[in-house]
Amino acid sequence: MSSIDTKKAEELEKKAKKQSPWAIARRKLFKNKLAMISLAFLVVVTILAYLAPVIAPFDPSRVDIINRNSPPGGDYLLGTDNAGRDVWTSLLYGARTSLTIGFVCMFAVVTIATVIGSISGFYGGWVDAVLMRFTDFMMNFPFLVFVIVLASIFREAGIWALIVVLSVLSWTGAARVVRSKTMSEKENEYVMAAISIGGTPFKVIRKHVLPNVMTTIIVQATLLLAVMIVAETALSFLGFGVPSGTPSWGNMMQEARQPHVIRNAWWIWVPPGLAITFTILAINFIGEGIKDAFNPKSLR
Amino acid sequence: MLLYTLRRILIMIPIMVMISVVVFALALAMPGDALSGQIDPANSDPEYIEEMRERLGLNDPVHVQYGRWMAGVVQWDFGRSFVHRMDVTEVIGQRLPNTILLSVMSLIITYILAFTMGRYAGRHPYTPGDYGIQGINYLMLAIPSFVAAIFAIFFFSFQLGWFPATGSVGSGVTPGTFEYYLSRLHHAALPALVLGGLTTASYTQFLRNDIIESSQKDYVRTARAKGTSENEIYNKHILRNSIIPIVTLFGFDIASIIGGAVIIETVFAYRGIGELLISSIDRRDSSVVVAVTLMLSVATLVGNLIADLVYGVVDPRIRVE
Repeated sequence: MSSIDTKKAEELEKKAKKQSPWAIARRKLFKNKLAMISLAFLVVVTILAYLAPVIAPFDPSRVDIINRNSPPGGDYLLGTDNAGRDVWTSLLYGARTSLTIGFVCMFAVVTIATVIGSISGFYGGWVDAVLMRFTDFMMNFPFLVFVIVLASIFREAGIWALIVVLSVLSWTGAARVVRSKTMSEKENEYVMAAISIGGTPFKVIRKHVLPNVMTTIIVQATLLLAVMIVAETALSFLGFGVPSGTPSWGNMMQEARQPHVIRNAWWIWVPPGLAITFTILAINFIGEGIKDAFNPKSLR
Repeated sequence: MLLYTLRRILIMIPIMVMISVVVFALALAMPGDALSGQIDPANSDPEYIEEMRERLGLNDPVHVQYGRWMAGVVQWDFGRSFVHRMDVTEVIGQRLPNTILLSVMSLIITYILAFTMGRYAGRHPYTPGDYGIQGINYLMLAIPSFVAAIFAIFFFSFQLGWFPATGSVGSGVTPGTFEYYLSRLHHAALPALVLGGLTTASYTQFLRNDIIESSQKDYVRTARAKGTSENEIYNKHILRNSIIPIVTLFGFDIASIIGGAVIIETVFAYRGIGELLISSIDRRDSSVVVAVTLMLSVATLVGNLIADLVYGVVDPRIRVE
């Protein structure tokens, strides 16, 4: 009798181990075809971007004065731009710039948002009040206007200034989400138990609260990656982003600010335009997939 | 409600003061003379600059300068624009009608598109039509506004020739005539379509999900049991309930339109506030930049206020506390 019970208990335990929330989520995510195709696309784009020095046929700053504005074909797979640079080479190097800025900004923003959100949600009281009033205050700025004005002031400082400006102005929404999730997590008994056995607030947040807030943070991070890439390309397009000598998807689109380029030289602006759109689309699908995978209510 | 409104407006005052301090700090960091706009940015003679700074009080302590600037701002005096050679308020006044026209048109387009698509998708969920609309939504969310604008110019202006590619009014039309207003509408149509089209996605999704959720509710079953026609159930019973949450998004729209207009106006060389901001930064016309930044910040703040107030009207629980 007792042996059957232990056997059953063991079996149940085994099953329970198999069915950890992360395992369920991973299985669900792997079944999501759209998310998997998007992930594959993003991985391929990232690999191409970082292998740019190896696979690009030309030097990114090489200028071919005779073959300016030449259509696709011949030596140049995707044609050349106004200055005689190879569009395919610029596209590869541009991907590297745009993706790097996107990823670095994403990590910076997620770090700021996690620190402020978890401290605010865990401590509550006046700490929460001060931090949240500050967050509300930051939320009142029109994001793009302030990014443009700040980026124009620090225009000479280069890419790092751009990353700092973008990160400092865009953590508010994610911080709020992390805070509310931390607050609801804090009410659970295990947190109380952790505090009661003498865990310091920092340790309790790091070891007990954060792992449970992680899913929310991951979903926020994917959304932010898309937002940051769009912000960088839009700024570069307007001339306030990456310095014009460095290829980036936004800088490539900048030439399309002249109507005659839009009308006559589609090969200059169509490749970066499609690259940005499909990358954002892929990131959004991955984000949706992750969100869906961690949602216990979803049927998939 | 009155108490709630008053409280909400009172909270705004300290935020406005803090925003003005931030904008003032930015103004001090800008090239040239951002507060009054009277120093010639092309003249680099140090003696001239020092003399002008002394005369304009730019060497005074910071708080004195801030006080003087604020005193001007509340009297609607933002200094002069060095590039345009007139008062900043006048420069902005010339551009403002264009931006308002663009925003109103884009809002109308957003509501019409979102309403049509959301209603269809909500009434026929999980059909090819619904999936098609969802696909369009995903694309609208992903494509950045400037990319969409360039594709739109290529197809609608150059390939089809339906709309002018740039500008805010045709040349050779006399102001005040019927053709003049028609030309302005014609020039605003394509930017408004891009700006409005890209923001429909969230509205459509919201409306669709709300209609699907409502169609499972008891009052709908009651209506069906009474023999009410499907059309009447969807158009009268469900739609009236589903429109309420949509209304609350309106305030937030003001903020997103402000950001969107800066980019769209620049791509279309449409002479509005956003294009003014970008071109003023390029020409180092700092006094205009400061005024536009302050104005757009206040507009965003007012947008958030409207969103909160409308929300308070729709959902009375918000007003408590």
